Amino acid sequence: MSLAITLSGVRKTYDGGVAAVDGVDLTATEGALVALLGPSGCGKTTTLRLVAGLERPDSGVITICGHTVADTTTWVPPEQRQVGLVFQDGALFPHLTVAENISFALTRTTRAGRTQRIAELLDLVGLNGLAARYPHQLSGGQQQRVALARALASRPAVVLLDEPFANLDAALRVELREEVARILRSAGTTAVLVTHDQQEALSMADQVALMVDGRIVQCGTPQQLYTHPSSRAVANLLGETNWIPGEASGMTASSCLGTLCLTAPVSGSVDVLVRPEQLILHPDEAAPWTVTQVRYFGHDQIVTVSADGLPSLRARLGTHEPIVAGLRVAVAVHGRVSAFAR
Amino acid sequence: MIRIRHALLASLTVLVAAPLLFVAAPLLRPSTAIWQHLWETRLLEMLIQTLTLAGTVGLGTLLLGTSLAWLVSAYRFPGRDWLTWMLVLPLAMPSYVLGFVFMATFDIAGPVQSAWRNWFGFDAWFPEIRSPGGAAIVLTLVWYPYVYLLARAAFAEQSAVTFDAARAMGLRRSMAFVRLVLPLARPSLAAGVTLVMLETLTDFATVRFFNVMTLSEGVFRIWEGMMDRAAALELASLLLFIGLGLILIERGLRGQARFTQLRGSVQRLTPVPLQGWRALAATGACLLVLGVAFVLPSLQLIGWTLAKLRNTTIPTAEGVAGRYIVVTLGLAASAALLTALVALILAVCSRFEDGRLWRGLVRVATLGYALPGAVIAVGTLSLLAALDHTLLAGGVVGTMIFTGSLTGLLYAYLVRFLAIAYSSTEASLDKVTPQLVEAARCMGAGQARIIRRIHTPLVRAGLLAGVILVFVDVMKELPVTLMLRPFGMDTLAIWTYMLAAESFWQAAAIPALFIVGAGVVPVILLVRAGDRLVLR
Repeated sequence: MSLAITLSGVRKTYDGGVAAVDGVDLTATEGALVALLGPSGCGKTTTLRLVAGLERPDSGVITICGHTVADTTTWVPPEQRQVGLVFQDGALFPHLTVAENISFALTRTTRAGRTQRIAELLDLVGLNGLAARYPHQLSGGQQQRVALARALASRPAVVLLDEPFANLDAALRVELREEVARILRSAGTTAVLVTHDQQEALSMADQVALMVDGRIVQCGTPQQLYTHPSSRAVANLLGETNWIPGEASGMTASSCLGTLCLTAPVSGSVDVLVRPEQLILHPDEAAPWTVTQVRYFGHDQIVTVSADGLPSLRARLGTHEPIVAGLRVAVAVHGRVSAFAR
Repeated sequence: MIRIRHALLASLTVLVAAPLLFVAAPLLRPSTAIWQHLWETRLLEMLIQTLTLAGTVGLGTLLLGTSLAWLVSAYRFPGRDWLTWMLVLPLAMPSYVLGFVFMATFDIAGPVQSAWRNWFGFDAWFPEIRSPGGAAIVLTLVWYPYVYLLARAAFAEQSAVTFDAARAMGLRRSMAFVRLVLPLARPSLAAGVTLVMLETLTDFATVRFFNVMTLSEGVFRIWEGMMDRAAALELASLLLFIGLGLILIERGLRGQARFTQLRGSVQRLTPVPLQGWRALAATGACLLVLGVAFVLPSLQLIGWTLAKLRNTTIPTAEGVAGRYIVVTLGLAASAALLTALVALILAVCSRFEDGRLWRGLVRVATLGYALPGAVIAVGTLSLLAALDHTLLAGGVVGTMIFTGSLTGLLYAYLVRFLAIAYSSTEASLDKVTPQLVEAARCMGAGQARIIRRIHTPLVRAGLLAGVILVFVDVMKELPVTLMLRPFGMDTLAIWTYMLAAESFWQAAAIPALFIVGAGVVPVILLVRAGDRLVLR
């Protein structure tokens, strides 16, 4: 697999001396969907703009499909980079129809070729029959589909998406996520998705790069990041956590929940990361844990249990288990857990 | 690139602000001899009359504009949808046109007083029409739409939720209006009244018809009578001082009270239907204002025009009517294009600046519209004269080349009307967000293509609106044209004014009708743009 995008040692400092991007190394293999995940202000959008050529790095090298587009001597402007960009609010041209928006980049195509490409793309994004509409006549979700079609029109090697679902309501967001992932895969382009939503990153991407304070702190598949976080911060950013004190030696750790199997060998005093869905509860009159709160969501429930002298735990359980507050339960852990030296 | 931009911004600002500096100069170093003379003549009277008239008209438009706006915003009654926009129509009528129609109708020789005398005898008392009161009524009827428009926009912005909350707390509808809606609309109302008062300071023709001696009138009288530019300049500086004072007071009031309300999908106030006599009274009130301020005067103008065309014994300059029209349209078109071009350059250049200095410069450059026309006229005249004298003294030219030239007149129009073209251009440039440009660049578009395909189509409408607004304003313009026009270059406005000043009502009706017809265009533009675009 060849590399579609590489960034090495890229830095970008804005006026005032704050480093928005502080030495980023990132690669995206051809055809992959890479999510750049991080809290707001971490530099992920700036990274995207550096790749697009809308910002110029202070130092570092950026390549797209093997061509160096930015280093200390080279600078390729955005119009020559062959990247598609989808903005948070779509940024559709308000005075052009859907078809004209999509064909904006198709300057070197014949009229017939343009018409055909527009039809193909509208089909791909599921907006057949809306070619003559103006952006203001479309819903938010439809606008983002047009923005995606527009970005894909000239068959760019790379498509960059900057929080494309942030302005949509929750139900639409989930639906459009799956759509967009499908469209990008069927178009076969490499895509970089900037998001602050961990569910979005985990569910859509092949690779997730987690960014904090201008640096990438961990990069890997969604499973790797979720189950083998490299730090407590990464673990906290990717989902709900229970932190349990324990004593580790090799691949096991002893704790208030008994002996736990670790994902990697550690020794000494540790904090063990147990995800809520790893906890299993059994009704047991003799057990030390008591259910203190049940939050019912329909598809699952979050159950809080506590015991004297121990931290309270949150477990995510199926709703077929009849659990009520006050019930005494035994707590077990399912699967391996990560441990971090204290 | 940055240097060129800064140089352009700075030089255009200096160009446009220079006449104002000339007027401001006497404020810093007043000439005691001239002031002594002015004081001995009628300065105090002028000052009192100016302030009283501005205050009365401000109050009148506040009451009339706000109540009409509330009526059409909060209630439903027959004809409301039509009346809502037709109530803006009086703006199409220049004050001096309504002024002379009123004068012709209600003055001693007019039909109303004649009928009155027939009924009640020759000595029957009738209020004096040629008075500050008469002028105040006319000016209020012409300019209440400013307050009306801004008040209506302010009421529309307010969410119904706060109103409903007040009503839930037990306030009656009228009390909720007084205690909640009005205070929330205060910044807009203040802006509207300020606009009206500045217009009052500008007007000199109407007040002259009504024998009211205001400062603007005084500037003209001195200039006409003695051609004494120094004295006119001193008086204009006082006018400038009052105008700037008004603007600063308004800014101060607004600065403290900035009420933001949620926009977008906010629940709007739902108008309640009026029943029975109340509905009729509401329709009647709107019709009365519209009739008195626009419909009846327009009909009168049409009647006079028809009568005039049938009976040509009254002396007019009819043979040259075609020439007046050509001159007016030519002047208006050149001024509009020039102003739009400068506005575009200023707007484009200032978009790249976020420093306070450059923003401030643009503010100064667009100050001309807020200031009385007489101030601009006298300032430009002094500047041009000074230029000419310098050139003459230096032996560069053998004769005055700027004073009384077409260039000088167009320059004064530019100073006066730049703000209108600028604000509509700037508003349309705002539609070109940085994201749009970036999106276009990522799609492979170069600078030229972006300007052609993105900027041009998006800015065109706003620029065109600016051109039209300036065009119509130049057609109506009186003080600047009167003082600066080249010899023999008379516009329709001048023609109207001259004939009306000599009480040739029927003859004056012909050019006046032209001006009113042209004035309807921006009103329709305004209505079409809906509540989004407030006049300036």
